[in-house]
Amino acid sequence: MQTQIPVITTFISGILIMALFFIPRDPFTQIEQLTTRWYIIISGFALLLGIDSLILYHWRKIRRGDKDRIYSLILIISFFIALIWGIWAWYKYGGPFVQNSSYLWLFQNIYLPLDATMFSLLAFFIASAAYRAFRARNLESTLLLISAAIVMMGRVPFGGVIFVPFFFAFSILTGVYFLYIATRYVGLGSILRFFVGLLFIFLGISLFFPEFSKIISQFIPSLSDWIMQYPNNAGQRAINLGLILGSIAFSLRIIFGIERGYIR
Amino acid sequence: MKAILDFLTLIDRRVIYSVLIFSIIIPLFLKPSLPTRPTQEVIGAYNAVESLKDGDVLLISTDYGPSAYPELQPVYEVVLEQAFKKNVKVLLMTHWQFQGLIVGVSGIEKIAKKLDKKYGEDYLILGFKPGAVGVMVGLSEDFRNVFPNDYYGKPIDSYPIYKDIVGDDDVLNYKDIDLLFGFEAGATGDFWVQIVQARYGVKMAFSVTAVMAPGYFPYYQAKQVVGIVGGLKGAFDYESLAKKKGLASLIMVSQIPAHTIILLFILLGNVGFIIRRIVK
Amino acid sequence: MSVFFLLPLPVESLNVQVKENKIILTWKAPQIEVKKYEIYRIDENHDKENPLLLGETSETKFIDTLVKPNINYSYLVRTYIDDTIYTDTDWSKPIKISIENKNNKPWFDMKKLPVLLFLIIFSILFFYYYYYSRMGKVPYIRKIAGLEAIDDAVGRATEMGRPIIYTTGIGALSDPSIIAGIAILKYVAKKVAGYGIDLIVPNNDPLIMLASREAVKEGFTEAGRPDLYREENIMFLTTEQFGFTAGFNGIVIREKPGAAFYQGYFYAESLLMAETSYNVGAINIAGTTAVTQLPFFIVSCDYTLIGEELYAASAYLSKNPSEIGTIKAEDVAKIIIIFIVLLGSLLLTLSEFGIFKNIAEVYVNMFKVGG
Repeated sequence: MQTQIPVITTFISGILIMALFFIPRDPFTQIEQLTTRWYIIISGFALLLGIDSLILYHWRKIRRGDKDRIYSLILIISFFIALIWGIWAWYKYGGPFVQNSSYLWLFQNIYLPLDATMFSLLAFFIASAAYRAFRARNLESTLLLISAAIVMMGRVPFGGVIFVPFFFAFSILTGVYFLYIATRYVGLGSILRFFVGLLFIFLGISLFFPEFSKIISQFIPSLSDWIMQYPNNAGQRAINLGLILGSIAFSLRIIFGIERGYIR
Repeated sequence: MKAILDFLTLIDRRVIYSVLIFSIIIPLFLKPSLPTRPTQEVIGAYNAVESLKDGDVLLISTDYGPSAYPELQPVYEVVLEQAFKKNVKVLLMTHWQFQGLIVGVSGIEKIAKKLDKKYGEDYLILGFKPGAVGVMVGLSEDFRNVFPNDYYGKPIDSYPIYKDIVGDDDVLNYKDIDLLFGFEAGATGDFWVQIVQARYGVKMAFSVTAVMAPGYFPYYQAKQVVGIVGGLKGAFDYESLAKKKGLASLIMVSQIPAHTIILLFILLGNVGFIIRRIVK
Repeated sequence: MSVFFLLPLPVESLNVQVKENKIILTWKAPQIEVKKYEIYRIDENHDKENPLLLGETSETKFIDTLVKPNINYSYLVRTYIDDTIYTDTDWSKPIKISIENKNNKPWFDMKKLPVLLFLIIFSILFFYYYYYSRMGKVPYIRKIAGLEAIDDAVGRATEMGRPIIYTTGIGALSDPSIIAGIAILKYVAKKVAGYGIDLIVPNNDPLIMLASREAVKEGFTEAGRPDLYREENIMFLTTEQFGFTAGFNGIVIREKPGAAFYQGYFYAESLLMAETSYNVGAINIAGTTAVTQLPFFIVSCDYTLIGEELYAASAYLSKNPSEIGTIKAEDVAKIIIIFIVLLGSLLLTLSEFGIFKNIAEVYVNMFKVGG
């Protein structure tokens, strides 16, 4: 019975919401809103359970005398300060986020800078992640590296100009690498790699000609836009297509009770 | 040789962070003037607002928080200036609890004060209601079903702006909206397109964070969205189209050295990697 | 002096627009000072010889609310310089409004017919392969490296004597990707119970916390080790995105997990969390349907489940033949869609050269879905 009730409820509500999508008459158009409101009410009550779990988790750490209990103490104190201040702001100003509310000061001067700081960490983390991950290990990772470099420099002013020396360094490096691995092969494979290496070195050297480097620098922003509009779009749509089919199949599995991993 | 290769391929992340932080901060003091080349998507968004006429209705949804402030707030303020100068009626709402409200309300009050626009006559702050999809579907029937009162607790139909923009049956819904401009840092933009644009055909444009911009290109290509302003570059382009020097123009200068430093480190890593492979 | 020099010019740019169920007239005022404007209308009861006087105004805007649907209306604006001297515009082009009557809406929205047809076809495929697999003919599913690595990751964490951390990211319990994450959590819990290490599950939503607790408890029970279940290890942090990220990163830095699982839906915090767990030496296995976060997971994680692989994971891990069969249905549907897209591309390309233009138009309109 414990598994059957949720499965039956899921089946009925799933089929109902699917059917209602196709009926444009009242009151069926409002049932979607109604069910959303029910979810919000339930999650409001569940928030109390969540807060209870949070406070208890940190209280236990303090009681056990854990190494980092000071942070748990700070959390509990901050929680109650924010809670009491917010309730007081409701009483005094009619709401914590009303224009003259002192709670708004707390929010704007403590919470907002902290939030923005956490987001700004992304810039640093992407630098270290890119440095570690963008290595020309094979063809696919090389293509990833090249397209990332083009898009990064194509999205900033003067990016095309800055890209030229990088293009030079990369071309020479790749050319030397292909010349080297040409010595590891025999026959046609060796000749092919040798010529690819020469091509890259020639590309790199040609950047010393001002006309050619100007063309490259002006071409980079357009190439960046092209990569975003075409290959990127195609990849996004392909992944989205698979995603949508996957979510339909997964949802059907849930509705018909085939998938029960989320319940007992 | 090994030491050099290790240096190139195993640079400590704290070195990368230190170099990056200086490359971001120092240019902020220089304040150079930068050239720009707005993309078609940004021009589309700009023209969508420019083509609005006196008395048209612009619905703005500020679905972002302080984390996306540098990328989205500059465009938001320029859009408001454009709209107010054309005597377009502006309705403001958000799906992002108090964060979206705070950035939205502070922006609209700043620009309204600057251009001497009156609350209740030229603009209205609807506020926040939870349940993104439910809210969007509810607005298709009657805005009062979702927002009976405005941000200040007064009935929305008691304001002169409401009387100016509703029909004879006194119902405000998507049919009265001439343009929806969404400022998105989350998934609500997808809901706006998939639910509101697909079902009710509302004209819409978006300003989104750089990370999310690629996900909106399919909508733009399919002509479901008339314009996309993506990230700081998009915000900078939008400001330049409006001939403004705002926040985006100020901080764009830091992106050049930041991207260059990242590319430099990637190049160093690859130099070490390839030489190591050759040596092995 | 001729009276003609005192005549006002007619108003310019008379614009007549329908807005829902009213008609709005706007115009530009002439250069001379105007006393008032009168607005006249032709409708089903009034003609040019005997038009209806709707009203007068001193503004350059008039709203006609006395309109009925499907009736043609034409308007004229009369400009008065004083009580007797006036000029008229030409009659505007006939305009009418149509109002939708909600009570007369059909029981089925025909614009959504392509969606229904697709759903029926997909459901047929779904049940066909479901029953096909139940009869013992289980289709081949390729290896998904991220899922195969779960056992290795748990084993590695056990060798290092470190706990495992698992998160379903940020979302609501109604998101299919969160439900998929919870289903995988149950499997991971079962594995962890066998090794006797801690499983820490910070949550962004209280309802997801409750569901995660049930899944972990069930996983431990199925492994025969319900005594190892610790409710305090599955906790709620905060609903705020970066507050959750800060809390999660704090737990990672303090607890130093041997393996970190990111299975669910993520936003900008994905890279922050994955890089932090990488820096403490954890093996990272991610899976998300958030397409924008996939690049970040790919550069910072050892294994990444891309898009639909997350949805297939629970079926893949359970090794239940009927569930695996339903994955096959997705692939067949994908092939059908690829065929439709290719055919459409070919027709549209040929239509650019004037070949099969009508067929291409009909083909494209077949798949249009309206609201």
